[in-house]
Amino acid sequence: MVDAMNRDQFEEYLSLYGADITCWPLDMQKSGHAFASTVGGKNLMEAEAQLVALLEEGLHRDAALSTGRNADSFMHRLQEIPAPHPQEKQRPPGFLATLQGFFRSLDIEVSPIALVSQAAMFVVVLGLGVMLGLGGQMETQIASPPSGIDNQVPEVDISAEWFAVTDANVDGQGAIGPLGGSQGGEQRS
Amino acid sequence: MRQDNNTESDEKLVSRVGAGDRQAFRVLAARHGMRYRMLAYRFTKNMAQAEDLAQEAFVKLWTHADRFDAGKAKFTTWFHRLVVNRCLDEKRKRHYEALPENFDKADPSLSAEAVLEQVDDRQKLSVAVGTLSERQKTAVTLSYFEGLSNQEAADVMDLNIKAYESLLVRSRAKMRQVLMAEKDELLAALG
Repeated sequence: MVDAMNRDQFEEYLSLYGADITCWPLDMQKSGHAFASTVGGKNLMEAEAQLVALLEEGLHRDAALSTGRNADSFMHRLQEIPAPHPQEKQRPPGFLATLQGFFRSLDIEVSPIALVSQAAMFVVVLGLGVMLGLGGQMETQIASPPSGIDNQVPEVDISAEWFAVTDANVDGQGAIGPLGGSQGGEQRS
Repeated sequence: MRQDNNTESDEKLVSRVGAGDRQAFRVLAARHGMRYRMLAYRFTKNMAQAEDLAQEAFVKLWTHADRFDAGKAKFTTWFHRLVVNRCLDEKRKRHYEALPENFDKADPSLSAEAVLEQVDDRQKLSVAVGTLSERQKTAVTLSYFEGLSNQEAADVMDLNIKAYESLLVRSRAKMRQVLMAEKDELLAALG
């Protein structure tokens, strides 16, 4: 038992395989013949035959047209194209294009936007990691300075002299040296 | 016109063109010039404009030959796409459709018999194709007039083969409907 073919199916096969139903897939030929014998089928077959004839006629007409009408002057113009037109050399592909090409060679389709956003995320995460790591190290150094070094090198307060000079200017009795000695009295005497 | 005695493939010639070989360009132009002039004519229906568009495409072939990648597509597929896109761009620029050359509009005051005589095959085809969308027209042109395989035409239009075949089926069905409707109208006019 062969399923009956509807108009849409018949039109589809007509477009795909042409009006010669013997060229259709074997399992569709019987139902195709059945539909073609209906009024609707006959009209479609007639229209298809007319369309094929028109397309062929159009093709022949175009072929005749293509050889006439200034064909030689057109071909001459084409031959002369290289002289006035300098060639443009393609720039080497950029970093993103190269990266995209690499992924494409692995059959992985990645858009440039995806690459940029992934790279940005990578940089952010890497930056956060480095910052956290550095912060932890600094805290460790402050909490427990390396033994041995701390005892031998005296701490130097580089702002001590500044405060001493400021004090001298305020009380008018001369500056106090960085190590606590009064220099003002010596200057006056 | 010059004879093309060169048996080198299009793809090899394009790679030579990319290196600045003028002779290779001339061989390609002689081999394909008329074909692409005709392709442009099918879109524009104006030979002077078609020649200009085809020439522009060949200028691009000369200046940008190094953009062609023989590993991705055949030369003809690439160049078809170039010409078709240029023609479609040009059509989009024009807000109105110029009448085709030698177009004679049927006079509605004529008798049905006279109309029958005047509406020749060219007009019937033109009317049928005229009802199609731009994409459908392109598909019909590539498959039925350019003789490209469905796969090649699908590549030119940047579609997968299934989508292209579906587009072609719809185009053909639409043209058939137009022809059937036209026949019905004529029969009705004849009484």
